[in-house]
Amino acid sequence: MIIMARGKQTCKILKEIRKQIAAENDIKLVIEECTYQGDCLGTCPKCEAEVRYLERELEKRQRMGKAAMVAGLSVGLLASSQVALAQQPDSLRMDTIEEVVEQELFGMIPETMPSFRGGEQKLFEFIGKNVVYPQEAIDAGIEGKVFVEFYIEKDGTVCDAKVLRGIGYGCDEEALRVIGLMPKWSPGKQRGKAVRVRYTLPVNFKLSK
Amino acid sequence: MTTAKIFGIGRHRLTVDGEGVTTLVAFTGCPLRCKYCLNKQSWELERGRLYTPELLFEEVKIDQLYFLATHGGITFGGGEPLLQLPFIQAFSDLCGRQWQIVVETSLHVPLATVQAIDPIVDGYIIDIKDMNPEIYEAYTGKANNIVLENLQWLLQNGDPNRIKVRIPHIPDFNSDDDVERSKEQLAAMGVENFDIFQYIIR
Repeated sequence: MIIMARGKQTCKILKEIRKQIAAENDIKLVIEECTYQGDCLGTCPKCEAEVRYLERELEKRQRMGKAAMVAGLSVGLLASSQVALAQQPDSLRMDTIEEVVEQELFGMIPETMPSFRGGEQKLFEFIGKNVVYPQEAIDAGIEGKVFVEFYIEKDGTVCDAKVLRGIGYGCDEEALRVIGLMPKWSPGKQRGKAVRVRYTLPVNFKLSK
Repeated sequence: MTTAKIFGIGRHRLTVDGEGVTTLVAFTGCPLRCKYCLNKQSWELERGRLYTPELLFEEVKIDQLYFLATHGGITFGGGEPLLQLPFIQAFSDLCGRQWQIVVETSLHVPLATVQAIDPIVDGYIIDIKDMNPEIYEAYTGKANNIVLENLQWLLQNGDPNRIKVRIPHIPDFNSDDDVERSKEQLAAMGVENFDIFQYIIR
């Protein structure tokens, strides 16, 4: 239960940061009560969507010549939340070893990354085998990497793929198509329990000489 | 191209590894073999996923807004992050100086590595174990003279406030008196920030 409690606490603080950024930059941000039922790791698709919305609004303002007021805005908020956490009983603040523990510890990584069955080498083989170089990109001599993000669900399903940084000429669409073809992965785990994990992957486009 | 094996990335570590909202990036590889290592998976060099600095940057910049708003950023841990000097340097070129870069380190690396990384590091969290060389060696399997030399250099070549030293009470290895002695010696060297804590073995 501590995971949930910590996750909700993190969610609450991150939400406050988003509110401050919105208020300071005169961005309308309607925050609804969270109804997410899954294990809360501090963020969820709805929270992430709010961050992306803020980024877009800030970019818009910058294009109009307005300064984005973000740097250091929420330092005070974090400081006060640290005080609140520091006031937890000592038993929650000690480093416990040789047992799976439920609270986050300094420097400890309790997560296991998701993995493509057969390993990363097989993943790149799969991509290499399935990518069809778009004719448009061949004609224009386009090479480079398309950075794609996607999520591995608890059951290993690949979903919600999108391009983080593309190179155009049909390569972005082709990278997404191939990601969509991938079979199920071994899911990521947190403290032994399967969790939804975001994964970022470069898809290489290189013309053979 | 510089690459490094990373066995875990933890987002939104608000109060755990440094100031602000931080993302912990944990590298494989460590020169020490501490009995109560929290991330023993870092000892297996084959473990983890191979990253380029560019791929890591693309992955972690999802939290850029939080980093900027809270003076947070990336905390590199592991394993021993200072074994990944070229990777961290290349990453720093990508993320720029607005992201804080903190390293959780044993400082058990050559002095030249510390000198090379210092210009891009905003904060150090140093796990000193114990100042007594015998205790240190019994616990880690290595001598601590290189650690003290590096710490001395850091203290003499920058703001001591960028350094926090962790001193653990390690069951069966040191006593309360040992911890107190370590603290006194470190304070005499110029260390100002301490994190003294207890390992509990269950």
